[in-house]
Amino acid sequence: MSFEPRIVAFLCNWCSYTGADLAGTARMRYPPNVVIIRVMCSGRVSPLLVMSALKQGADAVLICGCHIGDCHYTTGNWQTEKRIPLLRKALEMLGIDPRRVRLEWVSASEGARFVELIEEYVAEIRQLGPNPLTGAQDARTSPPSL
Amino acid sequence: MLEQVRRHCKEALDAKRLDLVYGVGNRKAGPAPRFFSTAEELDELVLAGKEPLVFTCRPSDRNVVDLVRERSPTAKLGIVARGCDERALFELAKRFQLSLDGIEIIGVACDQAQAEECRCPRPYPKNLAFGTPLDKPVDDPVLEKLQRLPLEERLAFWRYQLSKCVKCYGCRNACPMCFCKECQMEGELFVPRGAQPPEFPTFHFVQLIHLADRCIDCGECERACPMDIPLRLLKKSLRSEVRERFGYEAGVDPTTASPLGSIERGEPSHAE
Ligand code: SF4
Ligand code: SF4
Ligand code: FES
Repeated sequence: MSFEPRIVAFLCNWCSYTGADLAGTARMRYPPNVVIIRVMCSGRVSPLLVMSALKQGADAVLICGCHIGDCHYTTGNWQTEKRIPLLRKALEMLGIDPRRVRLEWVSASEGARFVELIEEYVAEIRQLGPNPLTGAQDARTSPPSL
Repeated sequence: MLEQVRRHCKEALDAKRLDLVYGVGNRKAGPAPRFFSTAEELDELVLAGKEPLVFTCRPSDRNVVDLVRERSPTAKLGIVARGCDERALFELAKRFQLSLDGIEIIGVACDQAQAEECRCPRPYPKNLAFGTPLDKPVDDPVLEKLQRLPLEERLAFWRYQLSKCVKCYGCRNACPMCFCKECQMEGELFVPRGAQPPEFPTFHFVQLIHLADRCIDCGECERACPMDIPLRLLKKSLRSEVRERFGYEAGVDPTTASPLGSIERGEPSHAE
């Protein structure tokens, strides 16, 4: 059986969720691999929430917010933009491919862009394979050399 | 240099420029932080020892400066500080954990040998009073090796390392920058309770990510760990990421606010 990625998408209420909604009401089709979680602002997405998703079975986590300058809480997405790259670096240092976390801006009118984004991301993660944090644990007892 | 520092402190006490000095004292059991209030006591002041000074202590809500202020609100306090001590002071002050009012920082530079032993990126304070600052930073060969490992091997490395954890919370308790009253490493929201070793990598990830812009790279977490987990490698790499992206290094400057906790020039609602 081929690998089907599971992607958790945190969408901000005001732009990105509405964008995804637009894709839905316009009956556009996109891969069913995404589980959407609506948050009030992309700035709400703590790195700990992303880690929780990765631990609970997500192969990748997508975070979408309003374009810079459009955040309904003015500076929420500025903080997101600063925070997520640090999270990706932390994952990389731990040995988890940083491509498993992605930040994108999707506005309320960009239903079609949301569909494209999901298609592209699902394809990328399908290539990348399952998230090693959720697979069977590597029961190594001797220290890998450094 | 030690004699110079002692003399400086003694003179300051004599002239009543300072009422109290905080620094490392030589005890039978080894060097430990203490207060000095007389010239005789200052004969026990030392500069050796890799442990940074202690300012905050868990589970107490009060830090060292609070303790002094409780007894005498106006006492003038001198602190014999190396680079790491001063970074802790600056960063704690910026984050409203203590006030630098009435405090004189008596800064001393560490020598090459000390700096190498601590793999210290900045072995001298900003308020340098004694010693010469090293001109080139000390590299961390272990970190460079870790960065060259392919992802899978790095993951295997940390799976092994972090599986040694006995969840003693020493890394958090020893960290001068871990001052939150409620700690997510304890809360069940993110870290499942009762797991031994704690869930990989969540438990350690909480501290790592929360200290990204706060870690002053003193190495206490690693020194405190009874299981010899090289925790500082992770902290170091995040600290340098913050420096590369935002030009911010925790504790180096007493006034610049962290980019993660502030609105910067050019961002909306930044007041010019
Ligand atoms: S090196 Fe460790 S103990 Fe020191 S500030 Fe950073 S996280 Fe805390
Ligand atoms: S000091 Fe070491 S053993 Fe103790 S909780 Fe921290 S990582 Fe685990
Ligand atoms: S409300 Fe959309 S990113 Fe803040």
